[in-house]
Amino acid sequence: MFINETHLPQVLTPQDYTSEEQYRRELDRLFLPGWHCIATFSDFPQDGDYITTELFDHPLILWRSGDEYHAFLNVCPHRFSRLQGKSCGHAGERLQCQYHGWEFDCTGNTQKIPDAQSFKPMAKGALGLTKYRTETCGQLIFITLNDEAPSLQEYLGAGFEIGEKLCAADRRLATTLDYVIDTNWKCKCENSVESYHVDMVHPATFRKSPDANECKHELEPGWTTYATVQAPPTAWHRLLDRIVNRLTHSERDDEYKHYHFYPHIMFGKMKLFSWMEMMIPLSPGRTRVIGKFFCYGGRSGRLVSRLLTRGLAKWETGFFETLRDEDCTVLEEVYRGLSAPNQPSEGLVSIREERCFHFQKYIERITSPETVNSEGVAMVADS
Amino acid sequence: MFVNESHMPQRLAPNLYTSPEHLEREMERMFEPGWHCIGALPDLPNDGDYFTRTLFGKPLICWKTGGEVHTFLNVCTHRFSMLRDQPCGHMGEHLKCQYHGWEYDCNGDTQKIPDAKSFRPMAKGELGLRKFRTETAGQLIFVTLNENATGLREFLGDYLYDMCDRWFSPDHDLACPIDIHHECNWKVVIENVLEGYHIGEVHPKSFGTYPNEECCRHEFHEFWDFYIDDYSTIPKNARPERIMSRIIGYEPDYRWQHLLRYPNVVFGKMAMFTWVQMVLPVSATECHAMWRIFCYPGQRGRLKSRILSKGLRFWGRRFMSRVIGEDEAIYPSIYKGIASPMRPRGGLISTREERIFPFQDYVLKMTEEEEFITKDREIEEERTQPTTATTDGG
Repeated sequence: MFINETHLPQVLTPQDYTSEEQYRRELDRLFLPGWHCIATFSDFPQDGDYITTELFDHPLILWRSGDEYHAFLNVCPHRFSRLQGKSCGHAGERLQCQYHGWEFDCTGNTQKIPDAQSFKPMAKGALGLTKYRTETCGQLIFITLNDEAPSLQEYLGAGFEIGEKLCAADRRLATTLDYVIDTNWKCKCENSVESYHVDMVHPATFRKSPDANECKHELEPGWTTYATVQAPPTAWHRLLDRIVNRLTHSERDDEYKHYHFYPHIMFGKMKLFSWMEMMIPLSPGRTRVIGKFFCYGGRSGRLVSRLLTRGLAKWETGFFETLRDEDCTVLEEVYRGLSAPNQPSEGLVSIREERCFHFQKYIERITSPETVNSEGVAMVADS
Repeated sequence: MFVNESHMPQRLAPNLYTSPEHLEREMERMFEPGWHCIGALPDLPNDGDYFTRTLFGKPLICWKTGGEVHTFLNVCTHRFSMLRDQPCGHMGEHLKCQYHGWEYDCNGDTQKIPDAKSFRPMAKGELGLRKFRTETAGQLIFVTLNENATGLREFLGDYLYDMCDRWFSPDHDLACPIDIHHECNWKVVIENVLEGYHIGEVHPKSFGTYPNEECCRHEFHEFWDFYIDDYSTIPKNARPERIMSRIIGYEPDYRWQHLLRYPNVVFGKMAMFTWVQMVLPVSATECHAMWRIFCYPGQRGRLKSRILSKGLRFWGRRFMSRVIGEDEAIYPSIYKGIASPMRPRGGLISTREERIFPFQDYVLKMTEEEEFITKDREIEEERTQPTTATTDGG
């Protein structure tokens, strides 16, 4: 059953999705102060591996040294070249700049400067990389650009425990979907928190959206959930489930559950699958989505687990790739509609979509021009 | 030896590499008044040949007729079609528009208008192409968009002008033309070619490593700078030149020479190879580099010179394409770092890279921009005042 009994208004105006000012406010109040998941342990198979990425125009490099993960601004203190341009690679014991070969250790201090004497006078340790805080939650590696941010556990609140469970170390990363959609990031969030579009957009993938009395919403300050029970539709599916559960020694679990931790982090679980999705706005009309999809094929070390994991991973990858393609097409249309100079009405949010309303209220509260910046940040921390 | 004794600060703020407004200022104050090399005489081997170029968004057509090179705006005076859109071709006696066949002479005056009577009334010579001043230095073709510009000799200065005559003399053969697009601000390319410090990382196979300080000499003049790497004492580099100079028959000087006429005309010489590199901004985030690389195979007309020319052209093309390719591969990545809104504390120009400092100084002065001051006190205190004095010579 849903929590509300009557339909709700659309809280945000079209301009809240398309305007540059709103985008800047969201960056300042929601994103720059927060934590962002940019990688998982699986992205670093070897000690010394690195990946590069960009967050809000900041070029970043994340480097594994021992069992620690160090994030730096991917900019050399010498003449500000990017340290590395490839999306991933191996740096070894020291991080080296591709341009002039300066080397840095895991604290970001310079270790070796070729022809150092031509830089005289320079005190040892005077220059270094800009370092950012990283923390982990399960297999997920988070980074914040904000030195004053609360700990990741505090930031995610209830989400931390969920993340640890759903992205636990015994799960295997099936795939990473990292893609850009020409839509506002809130459109993508709202799409993910309502099942009303399923019949139209995912008719082959999801069959039918469940009955109201099979749905359960939780609306908390700072996060919402959606749960439903998806019994196997046919005897064949039931049999398949039973076999897989037996092989992986897992309990039967038909619950589908989806979590949205404001502003931009989502977790989901379905049978032996779980995932994390995060939206990173690139501009009012462009969003980068990073999805990390995991599956559980049983205790590691067994041949049957390996085979099963491979099969599950393959199925999961195909499933979520199809979903992504279907959603991308419609989300770009949604944004084009929102960008139209006129709208037919004020808009309407059904009780089935009440999580959208809750999310919009949150955005409105935190980004309203009257709320001063520091309060905005404080509210993020609270929620 | 280097001119400065201590490192210098990086002085250009990130936005000077990214903002379209700043590029507009650079255009107006640095590029539009000057002369630009748009090609070389070997690009127009026969009388009547032409090539087309885009210079700062303006379509140009450069046409050789009667032994002279003329540059026009590549736009017909009739209904403003491009006269020609092929990169190069042959026209014969008159420049003819591809659309309605209007023909122009070397002054840009209309010569033949098909069905001219349907344009009545029109006085003879009333319409014509927009012409730009064109001059050559050696075999290099320079053009200016500025009617009031000084002559090319004055723009380059006597030393550079005469040097072009020597380095790009009629005895020099064009080894290869390279026209290449870079995904970075034009200053990234210039700063890169002003320093050899990156050789060790970017060109290890092509050049090995950067030379010893004792072999290097920098000279700074008001509008240009000069870098000389004297390798006469390094047998690995001197020996091949000695052998080649004997075969070809010229006096070896065992020097790598490199010059920049601010802001964007680069000349280089290595043994019997000489080149010009023009870096032309396309937008704040893109630029175009035009290279014309020449070689000296000995006096023209000899069979030996012809055979040597073939070999030198082949080697020159291979070597320079590789070096230019290595730089090109890294430019977008350097640029993303420089353009990053956040910077780590630092921003140093070593004495080895000191040619960058006066270049940045020139950009700041010409565009009247504020110097980027690093917020980090620590570094500022350690930094001694850099030497900005210029030396005479060259």
